[in-house]
Amino acid sequence: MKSKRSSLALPRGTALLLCLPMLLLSSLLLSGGQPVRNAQDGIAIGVTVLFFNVLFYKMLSSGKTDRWRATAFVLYAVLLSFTFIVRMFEARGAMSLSVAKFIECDVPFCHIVIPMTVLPMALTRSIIFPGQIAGGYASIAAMFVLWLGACLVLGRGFCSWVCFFGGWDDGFSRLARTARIRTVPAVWTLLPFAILLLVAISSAALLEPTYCAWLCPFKTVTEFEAVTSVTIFLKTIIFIALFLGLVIILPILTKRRTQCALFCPMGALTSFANYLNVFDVRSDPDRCVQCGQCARVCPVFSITPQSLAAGVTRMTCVKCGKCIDACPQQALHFHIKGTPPAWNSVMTRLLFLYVSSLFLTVFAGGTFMDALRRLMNLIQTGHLY
Amino acid sequence: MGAYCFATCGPLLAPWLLAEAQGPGRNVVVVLLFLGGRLVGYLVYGVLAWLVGWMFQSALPTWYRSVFGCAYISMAVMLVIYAIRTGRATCGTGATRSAWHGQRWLRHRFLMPCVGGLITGLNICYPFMLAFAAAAALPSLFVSVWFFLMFFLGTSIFILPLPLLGLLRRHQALQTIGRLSAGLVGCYYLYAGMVIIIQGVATGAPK
Repeated sequence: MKSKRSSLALPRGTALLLCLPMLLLSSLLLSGGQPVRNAQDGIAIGVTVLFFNVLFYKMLSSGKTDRWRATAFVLYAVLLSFTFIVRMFEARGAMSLSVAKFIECDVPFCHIVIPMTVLPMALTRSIIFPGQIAGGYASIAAMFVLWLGACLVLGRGFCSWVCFFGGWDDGFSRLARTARIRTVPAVWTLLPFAILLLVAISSAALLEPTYCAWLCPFKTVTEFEAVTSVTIFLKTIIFIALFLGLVIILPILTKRRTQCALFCPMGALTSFANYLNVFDVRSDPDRCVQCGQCARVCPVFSITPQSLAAGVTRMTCVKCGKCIDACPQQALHFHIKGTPPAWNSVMTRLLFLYVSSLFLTVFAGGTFMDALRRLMNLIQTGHLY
Repeated sequence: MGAYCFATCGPLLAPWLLAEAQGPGRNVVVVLLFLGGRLVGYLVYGVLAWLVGWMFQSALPTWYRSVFGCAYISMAVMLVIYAIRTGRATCGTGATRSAWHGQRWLRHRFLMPCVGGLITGLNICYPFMLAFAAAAALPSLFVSVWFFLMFFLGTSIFILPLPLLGLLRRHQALQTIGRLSAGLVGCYYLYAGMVIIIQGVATGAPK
């Protein structure tokens, strides 16, 4: 049976024409406006630009967002871990962090640390993370600025279009055909806010990023403290167990992004950016038949019967577009605040996709190019670095 | 130093105030009870500091810390039970909620802040160690206790804004977040208490 064509789908010619600005911008940003230095660079930039623009074209021509976004987003997370680990081996010869690297302040910063640095910064006028303020790989200032910029433009869309860890549980949540666990008590969706409150204050009390030290599951696929004591061994067990539970097992069983929806304090903090950002997801009350399909597929539990009745999503919405794609009545759509609920949904979606895809291309593009360069290096020389 | 005290007491007090969802006025009473407990803890330390100075010892025996490990674990158990039981109460029907609040927790509503204040007051943190070392060098019991009283007053100022969390009481979700946080803080105190006891037992059992 042929599936119903989305009303958001554009004719191929129009979609191709609308890809041109994205093609120009992504080429310019990924090449840094510099001429290509060698064939390897040219291939890396060319393949990356092509890959992201094909996905953008598919979003426009099919009218579906999530499928194409997720392709890039999941690959981004996997490749980031790959390039990060290779980089750590290149720089230190191991994935584990030694005390010397802490003392040298040579630890890459990540956006999840931000909620833990704000209170101590206000109280002690110092940054409690052993990273570099500016320059080098993943500096503190660069991460702060990029996160703030992305939050202003995308709100919590950051978690679906920019975050380099989100693709892990997003990917695992797509593996099973059906969900084994269908309902999760609503109270657990507030747990990230409780963790945010706790890590923000405890980091100020202990003057260390407590989430990174104890809980962050993504240390499993990036870097971790070298096990030199019982305490560090305990920390290692905790973060590996959390990775297995929240990033692999529960997403497969629930078909939801459980780490992002039920645990991540950064996601909780970024939810507040949805109040500042102009884009949100709304449902058209004239079309919605309250079938609940959108609530069943929402990866972060942001649609409830109450929110659906009000025609809005909860503040935790990550703007992945999955609900919009799944709605049989095509009642859900991206929306610009201040405009009527069903106002020009094709144009609104196009505006959102330009911004979000550009962010995804720029953030993920660097990782893709790095991975491609290393893979080409592996083929040519037999070494990743 | 006060900021450090705020950061130490905040994880205990803020979830409690959020979960209870009382107005700023009632929160003032809770914070005063908490500070009362903390004051008792500090006065006890005033006496101990004088004793240590009097005995010319530079530090308290290691096993002594195990007592506070037990206090931490007691606090953790109270917090976890509070988180679980108030959760059941708020999830239950109106009748079970009122019965729960009316019969049991009303009595403990004032006990928890006092015990919490006492235990955080007895907490050996870095600013406190500085104060303790300074007080141990003071000449008399009265001056030592007075020193800790002033230490208490100076650091308490930073805790006084916390009753304003009551302004957020109309948000039902914040109560749940407060309750979940209380449970998480309980887990942390449980861990911290166990570590203190293990360290105390391993490095210096009483002879």
